[in-house]
Amino acid sequence: MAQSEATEIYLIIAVGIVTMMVMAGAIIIFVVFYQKRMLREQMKRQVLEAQYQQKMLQAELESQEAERRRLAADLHDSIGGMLSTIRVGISTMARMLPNPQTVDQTKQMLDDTISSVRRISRDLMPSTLEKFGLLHALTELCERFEATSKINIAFHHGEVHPSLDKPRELMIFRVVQELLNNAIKHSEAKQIDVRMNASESELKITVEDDGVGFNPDDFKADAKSGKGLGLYNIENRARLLGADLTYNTTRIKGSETIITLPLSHEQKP
Amino acid sequence: MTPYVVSALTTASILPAVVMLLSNFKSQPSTFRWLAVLLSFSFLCDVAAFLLYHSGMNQNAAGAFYWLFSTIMISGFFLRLVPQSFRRSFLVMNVLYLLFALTNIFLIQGARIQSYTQSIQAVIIIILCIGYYYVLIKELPTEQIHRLPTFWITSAFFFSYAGKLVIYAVVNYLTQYLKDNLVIIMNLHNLLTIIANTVFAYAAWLNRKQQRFILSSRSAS
Repeated sequence: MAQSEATEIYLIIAVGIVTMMVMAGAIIIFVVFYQKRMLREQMKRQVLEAQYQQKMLQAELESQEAERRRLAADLHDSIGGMLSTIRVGISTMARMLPNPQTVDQTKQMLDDTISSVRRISRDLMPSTLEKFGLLHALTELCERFEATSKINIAFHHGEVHPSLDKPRELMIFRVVQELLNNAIKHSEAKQIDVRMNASESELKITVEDDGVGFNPDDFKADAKSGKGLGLYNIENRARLLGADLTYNTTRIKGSETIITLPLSHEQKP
Repeated sequence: MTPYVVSALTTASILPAVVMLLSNFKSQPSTFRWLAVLLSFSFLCDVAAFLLYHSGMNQNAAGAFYWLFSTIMISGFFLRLVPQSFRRSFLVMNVLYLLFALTNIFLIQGARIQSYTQSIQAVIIIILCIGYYYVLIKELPTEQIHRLPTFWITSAFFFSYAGKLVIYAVVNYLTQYLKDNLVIIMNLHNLLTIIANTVFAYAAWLNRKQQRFILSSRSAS
């Protein structure tokens, strides 16, 4: 009888200890579950933050493009139009003068101003891009830069061309424009080559020069002073395009920037 | 070790947490004030039980007094940790518990160990702990849960009262039918209390450290 009572007591103690162990295990499982959930939530938050940043960036670039479009239209239609009218007026007045050659210099200055306004307007919003697409716009861009900078700028392209939507074409155009601007301003190059090649899966654009080269990290570190702002804009646009941007830092001379844009089914050439 | 020494150790194990919590009682959040009151009350009841024992009186009176009011204090601890909408439920639960505890003292178990009251108290505390765990999982208030003092306190309550529930559930059976002297069971109970008190002390230290850090960073800024 006494032995069975002792067994019963020990059994109760065993049940108590097992319960404690189960509870301790439950607390450990809770901690593990908590940490897993926390990690999941953090990842979710990071994705949301990245999406938010991307949307903000897109909105910023869109508003920038809208502003450029408005400014280009104002310059071309308003100021350009007025300058043309003034030129007609001066020509008419010149015919009434005894010596019409006296206003030739003024007319020449006015012609230069009209050309400048047209060029600025075209730089702000390339009408070629809207009318004829990326290939023609890049060809025109290279020709224009070559004419104004006196640097040989060659544009090479393959035979196949992907069909991209206008906002994406505009973003690629801006990236190439910024890269050419940088090369002309800082590289001291004699030759710049722009290459555009498309395959089944991607569009590859390369801007290469034979100048002094640059270290992108130095420029990025200097972004606060505004020096690396161009590269920052290029990288932002590339990110929005979902493109891979590579600076070839292994070159001994000059620089090479490669933009690789993956193509979706509908964009394939 | 004699049961007397184990009981004395159990009572002493409350002191580190009590000292830490009372030393900056006013600057504590209400949650920790309730814990300080609970642990101080527990310490005083233990001392009262010792005195009653040595005066040859029934020491269960001190225990009955403790179990009558400790649930209110534990509810006070959890009150700020769970959503505001549960406040009414806390009130109802405490009133019902108090009524049952009084009925048990005067009509059911009388001067014996209040095992029914203790069992119900353990169930209430386990439910409160699970409720708080649910709030933690839902709200994820901190990246590292082991740095949250209230998590440690809740875990101590949960662990010790889950073990004690088994003890309380069988203590009546052991005393009435098996006529056991309860030494082993009470030692187990005391061991659980010592573990819980140690964790309380750690949580109080953690809270104190975090409060000091907050105060120093505020004064620095």
